[in-house]
Amino acid sequence: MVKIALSLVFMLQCMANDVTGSQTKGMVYYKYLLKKPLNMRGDLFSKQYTTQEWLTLFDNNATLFKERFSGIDPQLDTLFKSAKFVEIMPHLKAFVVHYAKDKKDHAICDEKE
Amino acid sequence: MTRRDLLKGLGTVAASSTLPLSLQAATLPKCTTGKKPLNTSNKTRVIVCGGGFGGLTTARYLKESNPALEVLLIEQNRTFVSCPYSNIWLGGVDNVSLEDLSFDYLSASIKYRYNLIHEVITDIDKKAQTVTTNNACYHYDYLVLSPGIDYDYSQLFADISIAKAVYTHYPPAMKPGSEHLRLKKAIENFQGGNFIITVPSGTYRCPPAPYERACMIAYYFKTHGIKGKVVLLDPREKPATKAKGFLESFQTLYRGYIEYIPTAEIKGIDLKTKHVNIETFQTKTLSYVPKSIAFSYANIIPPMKPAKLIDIAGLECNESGWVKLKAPGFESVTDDKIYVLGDAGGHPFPKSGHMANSCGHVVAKELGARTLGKTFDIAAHLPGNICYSMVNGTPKEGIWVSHSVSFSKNTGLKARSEAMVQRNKETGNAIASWYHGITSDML
Repeated sequence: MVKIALSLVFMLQCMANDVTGSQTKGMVYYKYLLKKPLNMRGDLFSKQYTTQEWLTLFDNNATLFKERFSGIDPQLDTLFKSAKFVEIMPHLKAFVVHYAKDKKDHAICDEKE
Repeated sequence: MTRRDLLKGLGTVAASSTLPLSLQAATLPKCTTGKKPLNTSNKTRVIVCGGGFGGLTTARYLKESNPALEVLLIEQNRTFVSCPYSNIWLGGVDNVSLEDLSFDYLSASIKYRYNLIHEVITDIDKKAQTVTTNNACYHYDYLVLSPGIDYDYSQLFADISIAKAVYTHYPPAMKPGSEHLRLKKAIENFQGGNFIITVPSGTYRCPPAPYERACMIAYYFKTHGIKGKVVLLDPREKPATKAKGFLESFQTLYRGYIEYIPTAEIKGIDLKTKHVNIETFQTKTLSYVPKSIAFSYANIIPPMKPAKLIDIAGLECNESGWVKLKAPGFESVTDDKIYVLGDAGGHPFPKSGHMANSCGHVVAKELGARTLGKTFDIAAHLPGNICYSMVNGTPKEGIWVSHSVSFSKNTGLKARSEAMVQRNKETGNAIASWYHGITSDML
């Protein structure tokens, strides 16, 4: 019984940490829906937290994420309450996790020309 | 494994250079666990696995930095075919031929005094420090892995049979050789319609390649009167590199010949009806919407991962899937007697032939010094990159991007890029010089 319970906890933990979205979609959603209200480029935004920190922020339907970034812009607060946010959430999560603070990859926004 | 077995294995070195694989040893010898195979000499042996830009450069310059080393290059292919410059051949520009892309390995091994065998690696034993091939087992003191990339179709198609069929009919041509020949034939035989090229998501080999390829194929269509259009499907919002230069070329040089579709996520392919299903982002609705695009031919380039040899060696990879290395050096975090360079490496460098060549120089100097009991300051000799792309054939015009690398203990390795996105003849002419220079540096 204990083994089953532990397996269930482990499974739920894995599901919570699962990144199933598309990081390229997440980058596009960030640009069009979050960049302006947050007034921050996507490459800088993703580097604010480590992978584990982002995963925690996105746990439980991104409860902590919404708390952390609400009150900055009314447009963003409206987005957080909408069905649209539920749609984009896995992709946004994939994007920030892919380019997190502890990752070597950087989201390329522009090359110096 | 006995000394006799090993000598027998080494004795086939010369023969294996000329015999087809099917005529070589039928059995697959394994090193006996716990029994160290012997070297043929008392020299320190470095085995370099993979004869691409990184491996060839390392093999050559290791012998220069420490001539006393015994260097053995293991490469399964018998002919070196270059990926860089191949798009120019595909486009039929500047009379570039397949011969210009092809080199024999033997001349380089003779000229630069290292040993060469054409065998397939089946096992790497880190503890015993052995590399087992389809033919023999070799002891190493240091190992350099430069195996390149493999395709990761699982990110595109859940069904493996579809992935296999796509590879067979529409190979990516991001690994040199027969895939390129198939693509060249497809271009030459193209009758019209859509010629789809897909750009991979994530980090991939030669970031400008799909965009340069689009220009070169469009150039071929334009100059051969083919009523075809290159449809370039990119999951990004704009080209991964040299964006302004490529987009300007698409619009001005190839209007009607190239359709660039950004934010295109591949959702599936129907090989019978020849349709690629995608989703693209609509700025009006701020949503991804499905779309189906018909094609006459498709160059499907899937996401990439390190070559299988990295799995065989059991090396730890970073979160993005590439080999974790001890920055600023190239030793694996798993085993500091194993160096990894080229496209399989996890440093934040662009995956290009030039970068692999540059890293090969650094590894050769560092490992050469190490085997002589000396130290070498890698941070003071970091690699660099330049990446040219031909965008027009008549006149030859190109664009470029360069990368300089810096290192600090706090921030680690960083690559800073600078691009020349205004297409010009000088760059177009420089491409051939660059190519001949870099190939003569290692071949």
